[in-house]
Amino acid sequence: MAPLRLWLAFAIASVLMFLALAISPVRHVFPEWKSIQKQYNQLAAERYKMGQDVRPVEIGLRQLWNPDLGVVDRCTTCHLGIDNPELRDAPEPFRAHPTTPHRLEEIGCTVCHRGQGRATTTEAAHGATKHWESPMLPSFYVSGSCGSCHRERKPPETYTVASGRRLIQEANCAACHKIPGFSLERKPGPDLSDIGDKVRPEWLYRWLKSPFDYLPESKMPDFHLSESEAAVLTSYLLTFKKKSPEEAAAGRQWEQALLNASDEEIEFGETRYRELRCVSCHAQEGRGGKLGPDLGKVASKVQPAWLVSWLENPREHYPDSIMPQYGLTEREKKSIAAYMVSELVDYDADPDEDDKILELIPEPDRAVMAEGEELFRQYGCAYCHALTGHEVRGEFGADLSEIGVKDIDQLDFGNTKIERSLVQWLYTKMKIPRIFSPDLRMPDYHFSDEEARQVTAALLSLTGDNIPPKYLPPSPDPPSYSPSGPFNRILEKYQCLSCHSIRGVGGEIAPDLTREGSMAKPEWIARYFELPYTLRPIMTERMPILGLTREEIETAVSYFQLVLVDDSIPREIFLSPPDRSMVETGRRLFYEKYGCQACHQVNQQGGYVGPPLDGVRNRLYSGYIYEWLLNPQRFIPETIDPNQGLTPEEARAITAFLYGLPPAGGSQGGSR
Amino acid sequence: MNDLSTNWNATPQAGVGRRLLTRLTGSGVWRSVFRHGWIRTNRDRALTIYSNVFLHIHPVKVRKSALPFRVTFCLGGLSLALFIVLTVTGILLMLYYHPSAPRAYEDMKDLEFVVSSGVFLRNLHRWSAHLMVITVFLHMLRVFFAGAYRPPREFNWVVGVMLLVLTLLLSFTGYLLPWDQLAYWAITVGTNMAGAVPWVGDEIRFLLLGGNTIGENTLIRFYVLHCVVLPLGIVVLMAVHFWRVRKDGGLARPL
Repeated sequence: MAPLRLWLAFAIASVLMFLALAISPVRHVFPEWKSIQKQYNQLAAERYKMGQDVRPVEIGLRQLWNPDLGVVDRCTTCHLGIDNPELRDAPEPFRAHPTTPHRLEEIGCTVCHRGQGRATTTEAAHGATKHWESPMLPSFYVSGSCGSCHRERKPPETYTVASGRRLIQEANCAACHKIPGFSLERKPGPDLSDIGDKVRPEWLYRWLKSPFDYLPESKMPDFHLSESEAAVLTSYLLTFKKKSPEEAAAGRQWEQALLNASDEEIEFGETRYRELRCVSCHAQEGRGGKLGPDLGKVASKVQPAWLVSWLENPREHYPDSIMPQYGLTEREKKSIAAYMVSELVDYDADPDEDDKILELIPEPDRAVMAEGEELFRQYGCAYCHALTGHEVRGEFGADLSEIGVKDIDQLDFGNTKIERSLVQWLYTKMKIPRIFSPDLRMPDYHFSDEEARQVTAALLSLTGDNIPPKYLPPSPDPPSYSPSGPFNRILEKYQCLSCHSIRGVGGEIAPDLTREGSMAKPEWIARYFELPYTLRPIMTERMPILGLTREEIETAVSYFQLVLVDDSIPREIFLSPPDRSMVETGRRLFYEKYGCQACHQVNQQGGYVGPPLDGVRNRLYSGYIYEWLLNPQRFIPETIDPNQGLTPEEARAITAFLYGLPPAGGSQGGSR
Repeated sequence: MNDLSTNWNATPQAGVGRRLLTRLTGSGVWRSVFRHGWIRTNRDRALTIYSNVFLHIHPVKVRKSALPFRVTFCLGGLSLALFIVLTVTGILLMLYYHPSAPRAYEDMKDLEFVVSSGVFLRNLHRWSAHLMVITVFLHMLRVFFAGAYRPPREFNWVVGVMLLVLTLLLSFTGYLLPWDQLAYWAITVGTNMAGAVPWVGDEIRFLLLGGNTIGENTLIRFYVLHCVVLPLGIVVLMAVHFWRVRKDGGLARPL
């Protein structure tokens, strides 16, 4: 028989063992979420006494389940008030979810917020745990999740993702990276085959060294080249020329002529430069249009001879240039060039520094050429610029198709001290692209903090194919518009679709012309081509005077009337002139009921936001005015003209009133 | 009634307890199961062992000199105890686990967060498995240093080595079942090691994986191995092992 002491020790050890084993089951009886649910029930009782419709809940686990999306979200175990609008002001975790078009009980929480839906403790659910790859997104970046389903370029549902995608497009990320939804349609940088004829050496060096110093809104990123790299690359690039020696000699003569131009010529050039509204596309020192390059310091950049030949015919230099081909006379070309050469100069440039730079640039001998070639390849210049003999194949940078769900373990944080999260990594990468390793080649886009956040959100939306197709919003038919024949030649020559769009194809800075034939009358369109004016007083004039020939105008106008029409819009709604009482009703509705004069001018009185309406019958068809009044957003979804919910009778009466308005003074049919 | 119980006939002097016990052990049901009455003599003890499938692997007599802790360190017994813990927790875990690629990892998460004492159950299974590997190893070392592999115990040494291999294989196959990164890569490495066997390596690897890479087939294979094939094998070998301990002259005692 063992001694009593041994039995005692055995007994104590057994009890201790039992207690140790009991810890886990006991902990399960008192979990964190139960006390949170009890807190909720207290809150509910208080609110109920105050007369709000907040009911206590039965203590127990809750979950949202959607097998298609792989969602098992137990978030609602603690977040008990998300669907109760009475709890909009309640403290977390009981606050109501902001209104959303999605049914929360259908799609769950983690689809948008991420985190660990199955978890039932605060820490694990919010995902701040080791080995959980998708912690909750910071609230700003939740909109990135919108983009996982709303995959179009400009999802109207989320401003952040739309802005991020616009930046991705502008920065041309898709040139080097594989990004779903983006493809390299055309190289955004200019063709470099004649760069040696085009620019000044000192400018090229400065530009390569730090493009943002020359042009703060430069589209070309900063590659952080060293001085010698920039000098070698300058020397290498300047060897690409197209002009023969004779042409170059002729060019030098031109240059002399331009530099010796008389003041009258320069003044004439300046006048034409303004009249042609060059600034609509070309800004000066950041002010003006953004379609073309900033011309504020162009004389310090390009060689004068090149400028003249460019004005001659842009497409001879670059076949796919978006610059319209103006019908300029010899004198106009020379005067405009003379004006640009003498006035649009970088006055801050230091001539001594120019000399120093010129000394830095080496002679393009064999070694320099080889080194330049290597730099050109190494930095992937050919992904944005065409240069004969430098075709690109395959992707240069990382595949970003699933960057939004990249594992943290696969990210290189280098020596940085930033938080180990995907969001922080992406944001930091956008701000300082080469921070994680000196070997990285990604250039610096000088994104602002806001822009870097937007790009990060757009990148977070790239989650691969994790959403089943039935949850994806129907993608709108890809726009297709491919005209041919004489009208297409006009579109090509004047690059109309750089600014205007037709059936979803084209630019966005000028009105959509898809229904122009149902909207505007042909006589007005013809006059507008001769002298475009702005319809809205608060806008500056933007449409350039393109100088269309009479035949071209006829072709365009008849094309508008025959093709660019919408049969659901009647041309005229009045078979006979409307009677006086209807016009009077319309007048009262216009001035008294709807107060349209707050934005529109009639007879020199009224607001400045909308177009003046004097003589609108000369411009628009009555059918279009009527349809517009019924629902302005039908034609321009983002128009600020409010949809007042007019009855058809009211719309008809207002149309009758507007149709009777005489033109204000001039015979142009507009306000000027 | 056979004569085994005759000398246990309740006498008028016997107490109530004794009379009840005698009645119980003398009943037809008791006899149909145990075939003998209350143990009183050495013969009874021997009969008890011989007529019981569980007990007959146990020696009728154990010498006191074989029992001190420092002789066996209880290592074999601990291994058996851990195996029993593993079997019980393993069966409970099987109630919550689906061996399919989409569910396996989610079931781990449910065990962690919503199954009553799920974390406890899983951790108990896991730690017992680690401990069992350790105790089995130590057991082997103890046997080795005690020279207990020498004749007539040489066959039992071989059985013991097989048990060690089965224990390791059970650990290895169980490692894949959580279906996380650790599991995936551990099995990738392990099966690649099998693939390095000359001549038939690729075939063995293919057989283990049920394909060329780890996938649903591998998961179901490892699940069946872990829950059915290997435990059956280890139980049979354990029976042989214990039985041979008795047959080879008893526990830890110089012959």
